[in-house]
Parts: sequence; C-alpha cells; structure tokens
Amino acid sequence: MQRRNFFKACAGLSIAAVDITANKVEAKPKKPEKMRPQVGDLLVHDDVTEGIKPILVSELALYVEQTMAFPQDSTSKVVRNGSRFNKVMVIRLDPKEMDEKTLANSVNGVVAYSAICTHQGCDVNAYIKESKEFFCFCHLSRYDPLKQGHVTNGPAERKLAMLPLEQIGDQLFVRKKFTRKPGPAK
Amino acid sequence: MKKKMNLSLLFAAAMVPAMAMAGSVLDNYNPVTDERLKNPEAENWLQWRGNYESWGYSSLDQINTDNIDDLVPAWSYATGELEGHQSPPIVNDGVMFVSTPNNKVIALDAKTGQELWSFKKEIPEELFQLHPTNRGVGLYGDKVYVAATDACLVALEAKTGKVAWETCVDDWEDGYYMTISPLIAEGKVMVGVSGGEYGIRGHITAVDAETGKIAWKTHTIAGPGDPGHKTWEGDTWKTGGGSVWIAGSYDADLGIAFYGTGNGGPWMPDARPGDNLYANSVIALDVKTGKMVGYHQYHHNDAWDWDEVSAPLIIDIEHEGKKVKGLVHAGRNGYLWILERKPDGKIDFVKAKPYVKQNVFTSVDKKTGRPTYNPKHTPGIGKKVTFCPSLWGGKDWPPESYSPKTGLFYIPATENLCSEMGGVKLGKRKPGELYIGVPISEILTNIRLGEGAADHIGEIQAWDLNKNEKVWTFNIKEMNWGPILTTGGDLLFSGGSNDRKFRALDARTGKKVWEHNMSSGVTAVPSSFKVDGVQYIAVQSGWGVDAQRMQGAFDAVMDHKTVVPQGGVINVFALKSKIK
Repeated sequence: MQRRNFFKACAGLSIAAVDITANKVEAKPKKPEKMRPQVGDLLVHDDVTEGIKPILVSELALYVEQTMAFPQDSTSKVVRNGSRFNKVMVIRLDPKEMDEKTLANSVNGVVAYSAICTHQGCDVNAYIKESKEFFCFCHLSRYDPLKQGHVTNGPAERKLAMLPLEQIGDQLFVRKKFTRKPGPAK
Repeated sequence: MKKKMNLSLLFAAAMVPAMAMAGSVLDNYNPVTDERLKNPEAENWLQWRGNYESWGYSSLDQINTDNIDDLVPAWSYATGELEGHQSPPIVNDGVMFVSTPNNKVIALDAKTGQELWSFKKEIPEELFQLHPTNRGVGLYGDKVYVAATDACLVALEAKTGKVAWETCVDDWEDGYYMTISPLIAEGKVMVGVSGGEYGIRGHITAVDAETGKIAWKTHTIAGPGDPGHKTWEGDTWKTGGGSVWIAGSYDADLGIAFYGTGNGGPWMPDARPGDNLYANSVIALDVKTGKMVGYHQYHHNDAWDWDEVSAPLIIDIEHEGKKVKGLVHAGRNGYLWILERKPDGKIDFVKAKPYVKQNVFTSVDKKTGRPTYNPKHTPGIGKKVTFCPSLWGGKDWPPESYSPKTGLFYIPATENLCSEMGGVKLGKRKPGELYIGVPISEILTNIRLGEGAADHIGEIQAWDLNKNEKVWTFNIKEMNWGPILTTGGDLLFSGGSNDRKFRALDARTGKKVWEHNMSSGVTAVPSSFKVDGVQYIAVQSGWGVDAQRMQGAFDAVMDHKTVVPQGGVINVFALKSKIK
C-alpha cells in the first residue's frame, strides 16, 4: 500500500512536470542586434563608431591578418553587435589550399569564422602569418582557417564555427547560418 | 518496509541533490569571528594564507622531517573542473571549503572527503575568461564568500551552500572580472577586480558581510581629485589598469589592509607617460573607510608587465640593530623589498635587493626606494628590447611563505629567464576587448633563455631577512608556479612544476625529503589542518591558466613540447600510522 502511494506520488509529480512545461512562457523573440547572423545579412566592419562600413572583398589581401566584422540585418539595417557571439573574422586565403568543406563555405578565397574562442570565450584576435593560423591570446589556442577552423593547438578542443558566404558586387553576405554554435560549450 | 525506505531515499536524493547531509560536521558549525581570524587556531586554515599576515604557515608539527617518509594520501576528490586550480582548501573545525575554476565551491568533511554540498554560479554565456580560476573562499560568521569571474561577490550559507546574497562590484562586459580570495575584517568583505589587459581602472571594494551592501570602493588608479592624479597624462587614467588579483594582508592592530596592485595599462610606458600612481604599488587602506592612508610604488611607469599583485607579508624584522614593523614582498620586478609600516598607515622604504638576475634597474634610491631604469632594457612603442627577468618576473602571483620557526622567508622564483618585447600604437579602447598594445604573436614568442637556463629556471629560495642573505636554493628544471606552505614540522610544501610533482623540502636546508606524483600539475595554495588529533596536508592539483600559457610560450621557442594533463583533484595527505 505504501509502495503504491509512493508510485502515485511519483506519477503526480510527473504530471505536474508536464503541466509546468505546458505552462512555460515562450521565450521572447531576440532583438535583431542580438540575433545570430541570418541568411542575407551584410558583413560590416566591427567598429561602427564612425559609421557603418561594409567589408569589401577588394580590400582583403591574401593571407593578411583577419578583419573583424558584424552582420547587418538587410531589412532593418541593424548591426547585430548586441552579442559578442555575432562577431566574425574574415580573411582571404588561397582556395587551392583549402579543404573541400572550407572551400564550399568560401567565396573567391574569402572565409568567415566566429571570432569567439571555443575554449573560454575570448576573442580570437591574432593571426600567425608563418603558420597561417588564427591565434587566441587568452590561452594560446590556435586554429587552421584552411581546414574548417580545426584546432591546431589547444587548450581549445572544438573547432570554430564557420559562416558560409556569398559575394554580391564587392560585398559579402551570409549564405547560411553558423555551421555550429559559436563560442565555448557551456 | 525496507523497500519503501530505499525508494524514499532515492526520491529524496533526486529532488535535493545539494542538500547538506544530516548528522554531518556541519551540524555544529563554528562561526568565524574577527577574533578567530586575528588569532587562528593551529588546527584550522581559515583564510587564503592561513593568517592575516599572509605567512602561509601552519604551526602543526605532527608531520615533520623525522617522519615525512610516512606521509601518504588520506583521501582525494575530483572537482569535475578543468583549468587552473589555485585555491587553498580552507578548513573550519572539520569542514573544508574549496573553490575551483568556473565559479564552483565545494564543502566537504575534511576528515573523510565526503561532499556536504556544492555550488556553481551560473555565469553569462558570453562571458570571456582570461583567467578561469579562483583563489579561495572567505569565511566569516556563518557564511562563505566567493568572488566570481562575472565580477560579482556571492555569499553562501556555510551549512547549506544556499545563496544568501549576491553583489556585483563592476561590469564584466566592460572587462572587469574577479579571481581573488576575499579578505574579511570588521564586518567587511574586501575584493579587488582584475581586467588590466582590457583597459579597466582597478579598485578594491568592501561589501557588508551581512547585508551585501557596498560599504566603500577605492580605486587603485588615481582619478581627478585624488592625490597622485597628476602622474597620469590626459585621460590615460581611465584605462590605467592596476588590477587587484590577490587578497591583502591585514594589520589588525592598526586596522589597515595592505594590497599589491597590477601594472599600468596598456603595457607600453609611453602610452601613459608619468609615474602612474598607484599601479605597481603596495597601498594601505583603512578598512573602516577605504581611505588610502599610505603607499609605496615599487617601480614607476611600468614597461615590462611586472604586476606587483602579491600583498606584502607582515613580518617584523631587524634592520641596523633596530626592530622594524616590516612589509616584505618578492617583486615581480625581481627585487626583494623590505618596507616599514608606520602607525598612521604610511609606508617607508627600508631596503631592496635583487633576488634574481635583473638588468633593468641601474640603481635604487637608498632613501625612497625609487629605481632608475636602463633605457636599453626598457621597451616602448616601436621599441623592441630584451629585459630580465621575463614578463612573468622573478615571481608571479604564487605567494611566498614565512616560517617564524626557522625565521626564513621563502620565494617561489623564476631565474635565468628573459623576454624580448616591444609595443605598437593602440586605437580606441573597445569595452571587453584586449587593450595591451603589444602584438599577440610577440607575446607568444617573447621568451629568451638567460645564462643558466639549461641548468634550471624554477627555484625555491630561502632568505634570512635580518641578514638580507639567501640561505639556500632548490632548483626546478623549468617553470615554477608553486605557492608555498611551511609548517611547524620544519617542512616546506610546494608543487608548481610541469612534471606534476608535489614536494616537501626540509625548510632549514632546502633538501628534498618527500615527493608525490599528482594527477596534474600543482599551482594551488597548499594548507594544513588537524581533525581528531590527525594533521593533514591538503592541496589541489589542476594545471592551467598562466602556467599553461607560459608552457605554451616555452613550447613556441624550445625544441620540445611538454604535456601536462588537466583536471582538478583535491588531495589530502596524512601520516600512515594516523589514518589506519
């Protein structure tokens, strides 16, 4: 009898849990400046203090330090800099050196990656010319932009998120959403 | 009936996983008072360095040089966290509190290692952690305090781990964060902020221990109206750095706390001309009001990333036949500083002497202690030079120790290591982004091996402060990131090396008398305590943060790569005969 009561209590609990889920208030839609990059967004320079400036493909020299960017909503023109996790780095590489998947997400040798280190969330803020690697100051993790942002030196364990691109005129637009969640897995 | 009880227990465990255990050592938790912090019992380790004077010394002598061979593991506990574990196991009458990276606190039965409760602070998803570590909880009354990397101070109920209150002292999105162990006195929980690398303006904030209300906030960088403000040009003070990483020492008779401060920001001296008060200093704060009543700047207009964040140890010494109420600090700048604390809080210079090879200071003024610099070894914007010691200094954050029994002062030092570095002009600061003005790739490859590096780089040094002489040196092949514990058993305990060793040395001679291979490298503060007549030595293993970063820099310039596994473990040792 007591055992039956226990299961009854458990059943009640599980019903309550279902009810709680059912009554859960739906999350508010994110503000456009916080939303992750959307298909069709334009890539603009990260510093908007002196106006919004699109990244121009013609400005990007081969194997030169990454340019930091944020996506801009094509409709509202809102720059999505309300979240650090929207920051991307853009770099021009030799398509012949890219692996297949990197090539598929690039346009005319230009690739874009999340600028947030997958280790502890710092900005991946440097580029090592000699080894053609992205580099994070915080804990010295390195990533290979020619191979889907794979980790070449830890402590990071997860590769960077890629942002597939397309080119219209001299400007860069988001062709698909991030290939994976940007930043560390928390 | 038996079945019902088992199921009920399962049910209870599922519903209340963090509930403190009934019939545990927590039942009769002994509140921590000012008096207990001022005169801590030998069997307890109530704060960061064991006492207000920051000695890192336990008078317990059950474990000693005669029986050290019998020291064995008593229990261990996996923290479940990666990264650099740096905090001491803090013990109050059989209850141990340990903080870990990623803002976790664990309460355990200090005798058995049984978990009593655990707490993990949820931090914002977008928070970036340059130093994902914590340097220890603070205890006061019936609460446990932890400073988190989102720049918030959390008070937990010691018996349950439940949050009593939370107070944020600054904005993590602007680059502020905390790793410090709180210093607690007179009902105030004092914490300092880090973030110099992000262009923050450092401060120490006191929070009421009971209510969580901010009592005072004192900036380490002199702003408009503060004495010393003219040592900054224009608006450079706004991004002046001066982080506070490490708990202060406290002179309870004077009611004054002494804190070390970080370097000026950004790193290059010509980006912020002037002396840059109160960066690279020790500052004296009246704990009741927060008023800065004294200071001594170890070196002005820093160019070498030589943070001076370790608080000086409060040690009375003899100098020229007189007793001096001393403040002793092994500087990151490679000099051993002996200062005098005056009754009004002023700090006088007594003497300074290099304890590692130093090629930057050409002289130190005998009256004021102000150094002069060799421009050949002073980097700047567009000026790349070599200098010794390296940017990690003669000693980084790991704390020194003082044993009143041996009368010696112990330094975890780095010798035979230099840097080559220069700066670049910076643009406007962006909140939360690095603001140091040195190319990142240059920091990666800054290491230059000095003469003698082939022999060793890490050292533990013992000094006779009265004679101003080094008594012995213990050598470690590569880096040493090991905080030091000394005991009444004439022993010195420390890890710090990349070979995962945790060692005991004879504190009088420097001879190694015991070592243990740990799960990971040891960069944490060891402590000692006693429960039911048994003395224990406790330390966390868990390599990461600065030690790991320095290892990365070594690997970038040396022809070998050293792998040090990560993962935190609390390790507790006792004499075999006592735990049978």
